[in-house]
Amino acid sequence: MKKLGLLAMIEAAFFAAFALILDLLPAIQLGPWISISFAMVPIFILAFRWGFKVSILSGFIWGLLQVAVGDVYFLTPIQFAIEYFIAFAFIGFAGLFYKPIQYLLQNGEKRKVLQWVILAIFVGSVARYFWHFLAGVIFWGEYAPEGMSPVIYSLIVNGGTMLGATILCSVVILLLLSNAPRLVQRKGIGAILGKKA
Amino acid sequence: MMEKMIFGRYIPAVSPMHRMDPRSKIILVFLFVCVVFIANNAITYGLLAIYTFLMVLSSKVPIRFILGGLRIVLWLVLFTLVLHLFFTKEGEVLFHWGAISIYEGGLKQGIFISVRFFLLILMTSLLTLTTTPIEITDGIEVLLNPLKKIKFPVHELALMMSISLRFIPTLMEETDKIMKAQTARGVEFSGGPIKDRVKAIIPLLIPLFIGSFKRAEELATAMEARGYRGGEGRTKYRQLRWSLVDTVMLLILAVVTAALVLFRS
Repeated sequence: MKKLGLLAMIEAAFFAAFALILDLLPAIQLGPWISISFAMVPIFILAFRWGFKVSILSGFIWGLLQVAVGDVYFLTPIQFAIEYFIAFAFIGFAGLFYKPIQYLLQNGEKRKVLQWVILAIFVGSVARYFWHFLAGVIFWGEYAPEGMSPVIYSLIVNGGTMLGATILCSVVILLLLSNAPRLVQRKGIGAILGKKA
Repeated sequence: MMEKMIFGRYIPAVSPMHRMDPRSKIILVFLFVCVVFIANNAITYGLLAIYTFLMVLSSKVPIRFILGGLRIVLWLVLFTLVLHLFFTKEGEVLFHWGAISIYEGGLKQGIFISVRFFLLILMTSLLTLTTTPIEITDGIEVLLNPLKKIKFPVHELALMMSISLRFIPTLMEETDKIMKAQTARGVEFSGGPIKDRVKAIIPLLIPLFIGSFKRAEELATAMEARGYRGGEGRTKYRQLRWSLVDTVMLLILAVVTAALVLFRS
């Protein structure tokens, strides 16, 4: 593994902390199980700034922070491992689209940037909530009595949360980008991309 | 606003649990989680319950406080109990009333599963109640060390964790300040139509993000100026020490495990 830049590491650490804090802010509640929060926004911003590896790390740190702070639901060991060590890290998959986003931002093609951003957010959210869905199936598979379908129940709860989070995060990030594109654009990125373009 | 954002659940006290090394505490809880699944009858579940209860007592964390933090999860425990009561149809019918009938198997299953569930939650929250976040981070770092062999950036991860933990209070204060400033200008964060609430988020996030980019750059410069060059050969301010308490605690769990294996059916 190539050494990560110090600045990238520190930003990843800060943004994981951010995600944790935003999770505490009043979220939009739809029933006791489904709450839509925009806590993933910092990880997405980081993904667009630094790419896949940094955002995976940052997501992973977010999960660890939740554990260290004690803000966790421990239901079964497997569910716990999946939800706190894997799911959060997978938000980083949004970072796969970092190059086209940086490139388009550099060239000022706003409309195309937005399309890629929405795609990236969708991919990141699906990657994360797939694991929550799986954890839900495992949990209900272990604790629920026979005859109740864990798959459908988990799909409804996690699918609903995922769609809500995707939409809310997309809206927030689109608004952020149109107001302050420099949040995503990194200083001196032109030189790096210039070599490849 | 700030009191809602109380963060971390550590409760300082002097107790064996508090004095344990974070490494052995994490190992202890992890082993307990595995051991719980050995229990399969009334005696073994009773034994586990007594062990957990004694652990909670010895930790000197007020019970009221523990249960208060578990309110939502307690509902989940209750919910699983009720589900099993009504839907598991095994053994003799104990109770029959109209369309509802409760079976012996259902009652047993329900009680066992909710007890297991409850004990698991109790022990894992005991870990975070008696260990500071930074101690947990140190413990996690040591326990993840074997992963270095597959080039997993353990040291970097631990460094990032401590940076995060250090800056959470700072970031929280800043968030609070900006939210208050916006509230003073008439912005509402927790009420009103969804559209307005989303719009209110933007002027909160932009200054926060810009501020932390600046801070990150400053910290990176400061660390480089002091010669930070990654993990190799760094020494530690907080040393972890394995002591008698740790060995005794793990031995007690070993005895409990042996008893569980002996008494399970």
